Amino acid sequence: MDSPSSGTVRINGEDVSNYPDLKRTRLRRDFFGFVFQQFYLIPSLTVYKNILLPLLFSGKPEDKGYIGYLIELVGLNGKESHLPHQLSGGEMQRVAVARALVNRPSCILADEPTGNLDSQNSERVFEILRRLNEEGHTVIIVTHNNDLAARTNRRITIRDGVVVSV
Amino acid sequence: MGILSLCLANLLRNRIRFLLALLGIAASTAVLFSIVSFHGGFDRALSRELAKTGVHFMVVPSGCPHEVASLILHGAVIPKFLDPSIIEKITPSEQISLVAPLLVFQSPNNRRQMVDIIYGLPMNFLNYLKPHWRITGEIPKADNEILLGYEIASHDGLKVGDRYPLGDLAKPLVVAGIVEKTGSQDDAYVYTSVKKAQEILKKEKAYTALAVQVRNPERLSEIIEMLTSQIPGIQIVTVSQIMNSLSMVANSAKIMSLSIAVIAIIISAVGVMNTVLMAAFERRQETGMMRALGAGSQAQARLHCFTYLVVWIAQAPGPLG
Repeated sequence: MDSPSSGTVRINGEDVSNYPDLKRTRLRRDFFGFVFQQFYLIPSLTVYKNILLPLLFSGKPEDKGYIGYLIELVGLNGKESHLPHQLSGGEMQRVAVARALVNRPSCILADEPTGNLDSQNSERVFEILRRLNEEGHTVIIVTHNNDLAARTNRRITIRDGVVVSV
Repeated sequence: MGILSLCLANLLRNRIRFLLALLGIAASTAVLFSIVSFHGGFDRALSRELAKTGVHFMVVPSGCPHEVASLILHGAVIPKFLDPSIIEKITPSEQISLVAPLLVFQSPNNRRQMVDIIYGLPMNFLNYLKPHWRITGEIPKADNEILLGYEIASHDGLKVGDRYPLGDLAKPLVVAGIVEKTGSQDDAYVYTSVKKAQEILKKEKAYTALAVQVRNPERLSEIIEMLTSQIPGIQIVTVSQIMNSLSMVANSAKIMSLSIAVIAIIISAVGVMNTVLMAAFERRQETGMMRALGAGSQAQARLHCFTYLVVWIAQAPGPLG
């Protein structure tokens, strides 16, 4: 969403640093899935409609079978018509994970996905992300949780804005 | 899920604010509708009323002719009379079908402790001059008979056949008929023959104006030109000129009321903008989230436009109702 102040951003070997706004939007929409620390669900939409939200922008048709699979993947069966305020923090984050996957992205960017969750829910969300990675998705997690980081395939440590280990 | 349902869901998140915005817009739209309707209705009513007079033009004393003719049409009093010789010069002819002398004046009524407004006119011309009237009783035929406006009759509880004193006349006059409610100034007058009106005024051959109907309205300007050149000292005002004169006065009121409507619309537009902008500012993080999920600038603009649209559509039933 921002332009890099220095260096380049390459995706599949292509420099996307200077992409115009429209191409960047398409890139975010089709290539990435985002999971935020604070979930950012629309409070007036049900679980099901929150998951559908990215389809509104991509214009892709609603694939009920795939959405059912996502709901099952994140363990929210039976809660499709719940509103976000009727869910726990862990459940809300799982809705956000399902939402990030609805456009079938190759890469998932998760910014502190367990930052607002207790240990049990953190574990559950992390397991989902690991499973997605095993299924072939690239999952990039930003976290302050060293225990969680220790369980990933690859770690890049940044301290005070400087990469200290790769 | 479509963009409209997303807009509606967003708006309903703060129902009170949404409702207040709707009320504001509905009120201003209602003001606009009522003012526009009033203007349309006023013009139509004015045209209708003037058409109902059955008169093509009026010969009035010199002065401000439009105002005078307008005042006479509405029964007001002017302290100026036509030269009696003019009455003899303008008579029915090949071109003129009707000439009705009118005499309008105020007369104190000591018994009623009020002032009567007396409208003297030839009673046999009443059907031409006031064709839309409905009369209980009958049009006065005898010289000692009068016709009462609705308000006077209802105020004094008078019925057909009752007696009504006028001016300094020794004998009260007989109520031959009562005009049914017209909702206009006509309800407040006492109608009598011109001769009896002159007797009450104590001015023989006093006339306030001549109401003239022509046989062929297409030749109206030709007839007016002819009369003006043949009879010096007269002023002729057509009904359309009277309407224009009244319209000019009304236009000032129209401009003012339209200004109010415009202000109301601006206030409501600002209200809608406020509602949408507040919703947008409150959800800046959500906006960022939507951008991350693939909403481009166009999608975001569409979302805001649809939000405006939903607000406008939602308030429409109010003023339309």
